Amino acid sequence: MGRVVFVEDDPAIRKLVQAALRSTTHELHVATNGREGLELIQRVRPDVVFTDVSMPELDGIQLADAIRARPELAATRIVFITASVQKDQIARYMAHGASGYLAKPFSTKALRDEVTRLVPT
Amino acid sequence: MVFIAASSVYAALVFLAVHATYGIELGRATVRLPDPEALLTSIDAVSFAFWIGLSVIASTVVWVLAQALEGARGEGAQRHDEVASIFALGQALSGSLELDAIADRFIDVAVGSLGDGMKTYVYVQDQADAGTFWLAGARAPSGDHAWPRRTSAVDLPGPIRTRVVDHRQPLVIPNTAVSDEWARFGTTVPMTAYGASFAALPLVSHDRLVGLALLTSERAGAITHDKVQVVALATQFVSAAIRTALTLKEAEARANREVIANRVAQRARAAHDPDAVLKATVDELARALGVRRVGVAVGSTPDELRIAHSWTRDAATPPATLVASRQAATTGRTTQVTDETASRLATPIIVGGELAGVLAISDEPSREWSIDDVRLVEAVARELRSAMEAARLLQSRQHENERLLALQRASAVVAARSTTRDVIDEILRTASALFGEASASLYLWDEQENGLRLAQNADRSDRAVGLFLGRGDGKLGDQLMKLEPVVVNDYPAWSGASPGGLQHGLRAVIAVPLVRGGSLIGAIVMRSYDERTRFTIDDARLLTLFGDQAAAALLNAEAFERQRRAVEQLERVNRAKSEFVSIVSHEFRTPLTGIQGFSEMMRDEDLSMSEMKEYASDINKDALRLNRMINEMLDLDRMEAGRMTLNREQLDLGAIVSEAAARVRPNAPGHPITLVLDPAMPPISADRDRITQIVANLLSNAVKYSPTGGEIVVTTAREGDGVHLSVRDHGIGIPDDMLETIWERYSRVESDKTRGIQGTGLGLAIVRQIVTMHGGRVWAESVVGRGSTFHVVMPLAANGRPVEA
Repeated sequence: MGRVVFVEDDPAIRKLVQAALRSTTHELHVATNGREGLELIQRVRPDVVFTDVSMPELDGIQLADAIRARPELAATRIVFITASVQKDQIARYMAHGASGYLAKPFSTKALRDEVTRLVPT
Repeated sequence: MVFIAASSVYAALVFLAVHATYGIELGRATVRLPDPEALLTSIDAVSFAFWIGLSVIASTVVWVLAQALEGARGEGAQRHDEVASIFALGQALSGSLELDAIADRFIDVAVGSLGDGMKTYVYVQDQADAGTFWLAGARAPSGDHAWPRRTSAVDLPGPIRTRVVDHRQPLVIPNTAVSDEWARFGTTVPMTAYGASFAALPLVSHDRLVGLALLTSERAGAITHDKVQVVALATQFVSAAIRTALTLKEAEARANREVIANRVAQRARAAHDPDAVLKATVDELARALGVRRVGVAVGSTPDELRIAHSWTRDAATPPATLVASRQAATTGRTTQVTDETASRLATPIIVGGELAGVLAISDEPSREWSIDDVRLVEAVARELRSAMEAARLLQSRQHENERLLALQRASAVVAARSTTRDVIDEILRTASALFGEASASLYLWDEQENGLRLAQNADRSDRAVGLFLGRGDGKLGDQLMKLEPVVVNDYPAWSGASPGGLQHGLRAVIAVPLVRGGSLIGAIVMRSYDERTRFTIDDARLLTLFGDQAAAALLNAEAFERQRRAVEQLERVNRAKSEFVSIVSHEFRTPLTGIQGFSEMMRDEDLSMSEMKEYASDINKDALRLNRMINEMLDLDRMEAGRMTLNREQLDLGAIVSEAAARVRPNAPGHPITLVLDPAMPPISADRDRITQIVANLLSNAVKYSPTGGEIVVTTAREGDGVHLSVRDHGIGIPDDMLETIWERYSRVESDKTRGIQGTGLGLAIVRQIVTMHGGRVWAESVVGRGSTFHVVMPLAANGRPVEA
């Protein structure tokens, strides 16, 4: 039973993720932009954060930096959800402390597998 | 009396002899006379009477004889003296003598023959110039020194000129008061002034006139035809002597000249450096002549003469004036200029029929130049020709080199992909290097003003120069517009001088037009405030050549800049396109994610019917969104390609704005949208869908780029024949340098602030296209961090022009 935070500005994708993870036992919190997401993360201390890269206010990369800058969130895993999956982009995600990425469009199975992989049992 | 006494004694002896003889004869007579004593007495009486008569006759004869003998003896002695003096003169003149010594001897003879109280002048004809006579010697009663060292035939009184000079006949006027010829003298020269009697004698040798002897006395009758004969005889000896002296002197002088001239010639041939030749020549001439100053000036016109080398005896020698040099350059002949303080002599140096320079000497205090001085200077000047020619060649080669360097620099700058500004800098730098003493200015053609406008000025001082050279704007602009170079020396005297130029003490100007394809594109103007500056035709030629290169460099730079702008534009479009691909792929993948995810769930999971419907509706929404994005892209393509037509109708702009705002409001709770609509707005002729698209795009941008919220104000207003729509936000703003480019396709302001803001990069491009198609225009104003305002102005009526591809 893990805690998952999902940060995404597109309402359709938020809805999709909520529907996709409804069948799991994990606790899902959603935010619509980076800043909102950071507040949420600091509050719920999730096991995994899924975040979009392109967002207003605070983008995914900045959000990851903010998480990594906080020692109390050291155990929080980060997964980027992005349309840009060129090698250099992936390297950049890893450099900012990501544990993985999901390429848009992603399958709901891939999303659930990623959650299973990263939430400690 | 001695003769009388002797004749008396002789007569007495004769008488006694007769008496004795008759006495003896009578005593021995065979015929006895009646009275011998009476006879003897009568004989004695007769004899006595005869004796007396004879004595008287003899005495008379002896007296007359004595008188005659005495006269004959006196005349012989005078003749003897005169002959002796001429003989002595001949002897004295047999050796070689200086002219003044010859003249002196002659004057001795003349004075000896004609007596004191005479003025005597001996003039020797110039060997080269028959019209000139040089004074060889003169003598006059003390205190009278009125004898010019030099006189010319034309200055002499007419009768002397015609009779003596031309016909080589003596002219003798015993009494000037009663002489017709004297009356015809007309002109008075010092040599004839105050004359009461006068003679002018030609000095002729070997049928050639060598000089003149002028004799004048204040006493009438002092000089007569008879009295002057001995003097005339003496002139023959004097003439021969003068001729010899002249020949010798000439030979000697020529030899001296040749020595110096040869040295100059040798140097000129041997030296590689014409400067050194000029310098050596000047020194040589200075040594030979012993004058205070010798100089060579170089230049092809009198105005252009510049002193190349000058020698002065000491530091106190005043600076050269070039007075005589300019005169010599103007007339093309050796010229003497003499005033109270100095005497100057200058001869032109002609190379290939053209003036190359002037060789000049001057001396102080003022003195008369001898014919030898003149000849020497002329001979050296002739030899200097080759040196001058070499100097000119070298100079032109140096100029050529400088020009090449200048061109190389200019083209190097162009090759280095410089801006027009850099090229202008380089042109001015180069021009300044070529004309060190002058300040360079570059003018460029101003199409609107129809004249030349100052682009840049390289003057180190703070002197202002003309900002604009126009037609009728003084001669500089006029002449440049005729595509002619301008060379002005002595600016203050120039008819085209401008008040500004005069005020700043402008002395010389050289200006060339920059011409390309027969039309004026600019001008280089060099200004000098140094009164020694003399610009030459060569300078103008050089600057013109440089100007050609400068014009080419300028145009190249402009073309290069245009090309670079085009390339930059292309690069920008290219970059924008690849960004667009990334943006589009991102944007497209977002709706695709929904479509894929929801369809997977419908396929894989057990869903209720309502869940099914809901997911299907989500899929449908995403599909529509995707379609909209594709349409937008295609729309812009069609508009840009001119393939879209407008469906014009009469529209109420205010209503369209209101509808658009109503659609945006629910999605932007943090952005209060205020409408300030002109109630009197007339309907506009436009395409409803497109105008709706404009308002929607601008509103959507205003919301998107004001992430922290803030009021959005939409205003409509009537403006002339059109309408003005503006959308103001309180967003992140746009940097000034992006205010133009944001309207371009795929262009977006890239910054930390915009990174998270999604868009296709097509919104504003679409707005501009639509407005342009309606015949309107768009622009934006912004303050970074404070907000932006986007303006649209469109005409009320349909006068839209075709869209530019």
